[in-house]
Amino acid sequence: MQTAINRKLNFKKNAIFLILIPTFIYLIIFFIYPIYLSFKYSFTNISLYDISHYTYIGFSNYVDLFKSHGFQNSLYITLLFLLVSAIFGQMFLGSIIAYLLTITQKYFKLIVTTIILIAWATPQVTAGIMWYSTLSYIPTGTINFFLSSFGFKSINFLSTKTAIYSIMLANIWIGLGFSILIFLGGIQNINPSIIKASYMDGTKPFTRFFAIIFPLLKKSIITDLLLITLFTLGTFTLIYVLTAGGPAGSTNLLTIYQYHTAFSLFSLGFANAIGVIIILIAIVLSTIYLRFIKVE
Amino acid sequence: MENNPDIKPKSKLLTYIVIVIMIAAIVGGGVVYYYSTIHKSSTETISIAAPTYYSSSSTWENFVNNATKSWQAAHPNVKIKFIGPFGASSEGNYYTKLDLLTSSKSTAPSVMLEDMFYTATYQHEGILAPLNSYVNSSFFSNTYSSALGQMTVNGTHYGLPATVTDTLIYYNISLLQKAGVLSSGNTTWQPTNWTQIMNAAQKVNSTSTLAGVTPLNIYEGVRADEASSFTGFEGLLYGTGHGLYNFTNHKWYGNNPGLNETLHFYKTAFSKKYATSALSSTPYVTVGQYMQKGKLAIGIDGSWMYGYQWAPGAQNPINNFSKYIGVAKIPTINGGGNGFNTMVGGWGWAMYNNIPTSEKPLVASFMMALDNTSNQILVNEPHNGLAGGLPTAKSAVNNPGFSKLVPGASYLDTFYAKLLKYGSYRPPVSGYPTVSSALQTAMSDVVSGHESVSSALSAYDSTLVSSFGASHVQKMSGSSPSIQPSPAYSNYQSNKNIQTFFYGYFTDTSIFTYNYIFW
Amino acid sequence: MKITKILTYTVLTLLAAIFIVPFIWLIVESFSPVSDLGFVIPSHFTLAPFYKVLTNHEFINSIYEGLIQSFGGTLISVMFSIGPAYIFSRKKFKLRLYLLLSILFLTGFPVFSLLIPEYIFYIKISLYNTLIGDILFLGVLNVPIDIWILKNSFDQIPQSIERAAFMDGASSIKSLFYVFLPLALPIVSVLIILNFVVNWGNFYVPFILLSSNHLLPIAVEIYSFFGTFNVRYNELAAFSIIYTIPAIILYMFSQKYMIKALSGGIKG
Repeated sequence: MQTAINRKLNFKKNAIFLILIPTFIYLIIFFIYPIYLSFKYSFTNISLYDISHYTYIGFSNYVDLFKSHGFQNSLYITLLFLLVSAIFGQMFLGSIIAYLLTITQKYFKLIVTTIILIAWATPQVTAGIMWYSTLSYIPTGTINFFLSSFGFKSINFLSTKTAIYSIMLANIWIGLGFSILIFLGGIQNINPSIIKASYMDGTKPFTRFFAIIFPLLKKSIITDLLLITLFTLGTFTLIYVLTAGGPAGSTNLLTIYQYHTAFSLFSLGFANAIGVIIILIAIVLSTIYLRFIKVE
Repeated sequence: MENNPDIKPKSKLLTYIVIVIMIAAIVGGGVVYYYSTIHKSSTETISIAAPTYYSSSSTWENFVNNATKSWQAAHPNVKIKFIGPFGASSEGNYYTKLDLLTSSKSTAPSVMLEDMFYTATYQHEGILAPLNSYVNSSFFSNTYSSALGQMTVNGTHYGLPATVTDTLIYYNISLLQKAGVLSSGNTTWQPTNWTQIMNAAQKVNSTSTLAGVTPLNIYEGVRADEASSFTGFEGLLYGTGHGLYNFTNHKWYGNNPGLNETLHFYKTAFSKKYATSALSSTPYVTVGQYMQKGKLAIGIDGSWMYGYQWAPGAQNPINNFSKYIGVAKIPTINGGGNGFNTMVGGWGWAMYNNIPTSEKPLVASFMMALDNTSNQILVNEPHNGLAGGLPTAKSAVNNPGFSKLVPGASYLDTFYAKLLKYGSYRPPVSGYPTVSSALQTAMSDVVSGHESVSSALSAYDSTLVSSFGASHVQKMSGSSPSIQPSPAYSNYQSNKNIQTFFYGYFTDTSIFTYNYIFW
Repeated sequence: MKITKILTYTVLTLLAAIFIVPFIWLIVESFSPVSDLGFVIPSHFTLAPFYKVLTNHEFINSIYEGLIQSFGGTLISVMFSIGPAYIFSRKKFKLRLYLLLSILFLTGFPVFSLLIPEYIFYIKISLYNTLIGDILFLGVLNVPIDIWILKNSFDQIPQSIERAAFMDGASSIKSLFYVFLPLALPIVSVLIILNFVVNWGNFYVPFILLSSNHLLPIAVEIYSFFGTFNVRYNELAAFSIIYTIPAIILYMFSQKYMIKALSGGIKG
């Protein structure tokens, strides 16, 4: 049936798919290949002292890793950090704050949103330095300065016990803006008549949020959860500048642990094994989230 | 289109375009500027590397240009370029970056400032050019052998020493007087064993009028990096008669009584609240200010502190320094051995071996100009790259500039210099950065109370084993608690020894062939 | 009802106040005549730290490096993203959903864990410590998210416009360039700004992939400055402000569009 003209038209129609090729080549060389490399090197004893000679040592990096206290500690801290900072702090609090913002006066909403967004827009290096000076105990940082001038006792926010909460706080501070924007957009998309109807019913505000609005935000929630968890899992700069993983490893997130293993202990094989574990966590989490999208 | 809230082309489009054009203009200007500064053609280029975490690269550039002004005038065709390496925020980091720079001819500097204790490692890798035939012998004979020896392998000189520093105790005189450590009117305190340091700290801690004063600072933890390993830990460790590295069988100590004693010192000091981790993990700047403001009584620190912090013209100058802050030697654990210990570090200029042989005499003459007696003094002056160090040229003391080194307290210079005879050195072995990092982890685990000394030591041991292989780590074998001259020091006495242990170390190791990266 | 309202306003005001606290040190210190890592109310305010920073050759160079690298990375990622985004938005084909999902996954990929293999890879192919290597990696990191944002925005441009062009006999490629792109220009400009800001704020890519002092962008320069022995914190603060303000302004400008595009979801 197809005539030559038709075939030519068909080709013309499909020629546009060639545009995909350069992009995919670029992605494969600089993005996908390093993913492969990190798996490959994780099975070797490659070291920074000599990167051209290494031998394959099977799973022994992983075995050593799961035996080491440092790694167990780091894994625990990372998961706790994800749970508190990303899921509770940014996603959950973020959705509530976004809802509260929608019921306030226009200019008030603008000012508060802007302040939260400024934090989000702050480059992480600056944020790390700022938070260090804000939380510092010795020398007296901003918070302790105000605490002591109001007659309260100074608090060491960066001690082995408290530093983990400090980095969660700093991370919520920098990430909240992103969630709020997503939720503000989501709430706008809700059919106003539904919210109006809930007012008519005389539903209490909190019930209204959890029973009516929260479920309608499902799409925003999943998008937000997916991106926020992955961003938080990859957090390095802010925490590295703020605590460098210390004191005594109490804020040693997997990323920082990986960096130290590679560039202080010079064990690149080990560091790649840590990297692979980060990647696997990311894959597991995103598969779970993506399943929700498919259901929809 | 009109129904679509996302796309509002007309008014906003213009704004975006303007912004994009602005950015493009800035970047374009930048590119022009960049190439005009970087790619000036000249017949020869001498590139210089120095650690920019000590001081900024503009400080280095200014120093190099000032120091070699007349040399550059005599060689108009030679361009001098300072290449960093930048982004090295700590000592360990500088070594890593320098290693990578020197791994390729195209990126290697012709002249590099390197930590003396790295000389043997670099020499073994073939990175360093022998200087005997290019530098006048009078230059070498004018250099203190304690410094020159560190840059000499088997009688061949691989570098021109520029500076040495050591570590010592600083104390706030009035705080110690108030605590009763010093009788009033007396300003000189010299502990002769560790217990006396601890007792003094205890007295400060229990003096009610001194509430809020931190009695003791000794660096610890990962954040303070080499300050914790070198300035803090090793200054004590080498006073136990033990070290980090066994030079006879070329193994790292996974455990020894010295490591144990030193960690116990840390544990006591921090658990009894004589020292606090919040201060001991901060940068030198804060510690200096704390002692100055009377918030810190005793601090184990480096001779560079004065030049960086307290000299006239430095960040926080102190007039009549000797009235407020005293200096003391760090005692050995029980006063045995030499009685005292200090960690000596130093830096020297070295030449990259793979530059064309025809260029070597030129580069050597540049290095001699850079490292002549008056420039050795200049580089050690406050504000300059190696502020607070001591020149290594014997003739420096007769130079009128010498008194400028420690302006306002020239007696300090003599004090620092006299310390050198108690000096110990870090093991000049390539694995040191790994060991240093493992030490920092052990320290902070003990100090935070997370781990007991013995479990921190076994974690230290297993880090070493996993990094170097079990055959390169020595477990505790018997005990030899008596104080002997520190092994690193005695090894430095004989260059032949250095040579032997290096070849021994490198020939029987598989992981650390530390070769170039060929590809 | 009234109590809820008062409570809402109080909570949000407090939140805004907390969000401002970290900036206090930065702003006060940058105008302070003396250097202090802690918070000290200075005796008087001065512009000297800004003057010192802006006359420092090294800092100026790092600002230029930051501009070149951020803008270079931006151009590359936008260039490589427009085509695929158009195809994902307009064409239906077999692997579409799978490719889209993998791109969504790359969007949130924990990039930091890739830097160490990338570092080894770069040393082996001599891209380590080169401007182009840094730009190529910065560029590739943004390609997935750019495709995603562009695709979602393209979805909102009505298909009827190209269909009209297509009826007139234009090929797909022609309709992309002549009909579609002009309509998409606003979102592309926003994306350029957004990419620029993301690259400007990126610290770890240049931190690990570069080492020569003349190549280091402003982000790394600030960190190195923070770590030196004799830090002058007031200059550090001034320099950080110079670094931060453009980022904040540009971010504010483009965030709205990004979120709209990001929350578009997948339309199978």
